[in-house]
Amino acid sequence: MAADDRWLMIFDNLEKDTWLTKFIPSAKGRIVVTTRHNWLAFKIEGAKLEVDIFNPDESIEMFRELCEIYKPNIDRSSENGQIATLLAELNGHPLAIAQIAAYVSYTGTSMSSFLREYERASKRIHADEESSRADKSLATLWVLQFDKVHNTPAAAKILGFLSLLSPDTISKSIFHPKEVKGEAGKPQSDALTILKLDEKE
Amino acid sequence: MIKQAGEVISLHRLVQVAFLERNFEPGSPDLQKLFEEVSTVLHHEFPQSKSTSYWGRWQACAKYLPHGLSLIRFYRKQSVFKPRLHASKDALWLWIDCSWYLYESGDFQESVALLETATNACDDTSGLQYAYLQSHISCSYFELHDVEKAKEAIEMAVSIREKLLPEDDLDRVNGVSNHGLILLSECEFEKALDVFKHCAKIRGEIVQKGKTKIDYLAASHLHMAMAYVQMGKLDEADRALDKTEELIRHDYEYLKSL
Repeated sequence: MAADDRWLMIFDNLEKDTWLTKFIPSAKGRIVVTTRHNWLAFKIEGAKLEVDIFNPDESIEMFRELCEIYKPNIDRSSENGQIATLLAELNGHPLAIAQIAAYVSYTGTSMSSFLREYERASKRIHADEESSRADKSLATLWVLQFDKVHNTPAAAKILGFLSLLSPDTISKSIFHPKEVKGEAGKPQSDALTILKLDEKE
Repeated sequence: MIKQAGEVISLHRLVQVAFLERNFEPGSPDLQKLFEEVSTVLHHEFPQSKSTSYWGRWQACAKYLPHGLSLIRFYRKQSVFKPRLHASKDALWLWIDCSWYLYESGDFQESVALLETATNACDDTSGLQYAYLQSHISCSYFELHDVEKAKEAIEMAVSIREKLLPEDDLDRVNGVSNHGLILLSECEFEKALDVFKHCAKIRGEIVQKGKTKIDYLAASHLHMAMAYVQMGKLDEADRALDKTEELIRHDYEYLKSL
C-alpha cells in the first residue's frame, strides 16, 4: 500500500492476536477488528465498541427484513404476536433470528406452527440443561433442522460434506461432473459420484 | 442453513460444528467415512503437482486450497480422540498438492506446518507417497534456510526412490538434483557439480525417450553453471549457460517455476 493511499482493512472474527501483528500494514490507514473474545479486544490498542445483542424491536426488524428478502410474497402481518413470542425466546441472537427467518420462509411454515414445534423440541432437548437462553434457542433450532435434514439422507450427506470444507466460498462446481478430463493417471470424479448421490436428489 | 450467491455456497461455521457434533461421534466409522469421501473429492479437484510446476494453474489451486487447509485443521482437532482419524491416501495426496501450491506462493511456513502434520499421518514410511512428503518439505525447509532439515528430508526421499524407482524416473532424478542444490549451498562445489552432471546425463536420456520436457535438462546445465561460478571457473560456467540457453529456446515451462 502506498503511503498516501487511504485504506480500510477489516479483520473479521479474529481468534488470536498473533494473527493481527503478523499482517498489520505499516502505512497509514484504518483497521476494524471484530472478535467474539472480550479478552482479545482488550489486548488490541484503539477504540473499542462492544456490540450488544439485539433488543426486541431490532430483532423483529431484522426478522421481518430477512423474511421479505427470502420470500416477499408471504404476508406475516397477522402473526405479530407469535413473532414477538418466538424472538423473545431467541434473546436477540442474530444467527438464530436469521436461521428461523430462512426456515419459515423457505418451508412456508406459519409462525404458530413453527412456535409449537420449537417449544416441543425445546422441552425435549433441554429438560435437564443449565445453559443460557440464547444457547438453548440456537441448539433447539439446530436440532429441529438437523432432524428434518436426517429425513432426507442425500441432504444429510451433503451437509456433512459441507461441514468439513472452508465455510465461506464453496464453489457449486464441486458437485458437478467435470466436462474436461483432467491430468493423466488421476481419476476424475465429482462429489455426487463419490458420495453416491443422484443429481436429482 | 446453507446460503447461495451465484456459483458460491456458504454456511455458518457454527452450523458446521453443530452438525458434526450432533451426527458424528469422534473416532466413529461414520466420521472416518465422511473424512475419506471429502478427501477424495478434494484430491480429484485439486490440480496435481507431481514433478511439475503449478505455473498457469494457480487459480484452480487457490479455489480449493482453503478446503484442503480446512480438512487438515479438522484432522488436527480430531487427533485427541481414539481411535484416531486415519488419513487416507487421497487425503495425503491432497495435502501434498496443497503444500506445493503454498510453496510456489512463497508461504513456506504454512507449507512446512501442513507437511509436518501430513508426514506424521502417513503410516507407510517406505512408500513413494512418503518420499513426496519428504521431498516437498525439504524444499520448504531449504527456502526457510533450515539446510540441515532440508538435507535430512531430501536424503530420505532419495533413498526411498532409489529403492522403488528405476534410475531414469523423473521424480528420482529430481530428488537427486535437489540434493545437489543443498550441497551447493553448503559450499560442497565439487560434489554438487558431480550430482548436476549425473542429473544432466539421466535427464538427457529421459528427454530422448520423450518422457519429459527439455527444460528439466536445461535446469541441470543451469545448476552446473551455478556450481562453476562458485568454483571460479567462469569459462565453464559460460559454456554451461550457453547450453542452457540453447536448450530452452523452444520450451521453458519448468524453468518458469524456478
